[in-house]
Amino acid sequence: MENWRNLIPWGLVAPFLIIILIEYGLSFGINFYNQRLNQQISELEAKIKQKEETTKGGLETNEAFKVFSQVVNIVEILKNRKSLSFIINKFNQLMPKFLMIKEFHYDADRQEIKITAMVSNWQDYLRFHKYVSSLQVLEIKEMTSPKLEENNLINFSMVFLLKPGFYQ
Amino acid sequence: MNIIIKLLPIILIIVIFYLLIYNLYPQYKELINLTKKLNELQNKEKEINALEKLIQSLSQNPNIQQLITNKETLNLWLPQKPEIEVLLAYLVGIYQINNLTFKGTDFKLIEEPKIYNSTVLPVKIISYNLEAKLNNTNLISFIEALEKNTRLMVIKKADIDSKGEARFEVESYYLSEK
Repeated sequence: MENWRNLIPWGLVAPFLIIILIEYGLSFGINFYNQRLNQQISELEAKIKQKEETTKGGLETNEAFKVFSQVVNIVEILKNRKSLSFIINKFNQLMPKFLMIKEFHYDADRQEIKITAMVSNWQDYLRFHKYVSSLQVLEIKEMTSPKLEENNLINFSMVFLLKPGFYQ
Repeated sequence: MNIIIKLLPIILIIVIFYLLIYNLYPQYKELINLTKKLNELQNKEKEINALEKLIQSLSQNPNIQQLITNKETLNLWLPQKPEIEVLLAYLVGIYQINNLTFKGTDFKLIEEPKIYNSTVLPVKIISYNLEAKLNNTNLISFIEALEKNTRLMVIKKADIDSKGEARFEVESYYLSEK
């Protein structure tokens, strides 16, 4: 037995044993802390659930909160709404007189206007294209190739993105 | 015996790494996750507390009390129920003042609430299409009548052709209970 003890190089083994002990200690500490956290989480979850139920019930029946919600939503809707009458008037003002609009499509979510239009000759088409390309308040998103139709008018369609400056 | 003693440092190193990888690291990961979850719950609790305070302060706010006494006006703009029949009456009126015939429409009640502001109750959307034969004189007047109507109406899409055929996709709203 004495021989066996003497054979172990304690100087070498001791640091390893200390590290293992530290690891066990840490493991025990973390495990204990995790258990406490789990307990805290369960308590908090129960507390929140109870509060949510009472608050939710309160919200649904609380007249002041409903009225406040109505006011806030009305303000937000009006703030976000873009007036189509303003958009049509402004668009008409921007478009040259020689442009004949066949179809007008407006999409509020995409903030875009699509037109199918005609002009009487190629010079007018080139003038129109140059003019709309230079506009600061509109951006050409898509366009179809212009085509001379049987009625001798040049037909084309364009999609314009309305820039923030358009609404000013 | 000698071999075991010689291998002892290697065995101890293996034990150290085994404990580190299979015991300490998973526990550490669990600790991080639990802390994260606890923080999220604490934040949620703070939000609920803020909401409770808001309800309390609203109940005592004299301006809100005044709005409550005049809530009929607010209900005209944004009612607490869909009130389709009121909306229909407004539409009939708008068509009449523009000398147009209202042929009816399908009202779609969209279940998904629209959140404009996360601190208050959201709104629900009533979507409907309107068709009309318009000319240069009553086009703007018809659109303005929709946009200036007491019950909020938002034109989401419009298709107008040179023959005067016009189609509008319009949204009105009501307060969502949840």
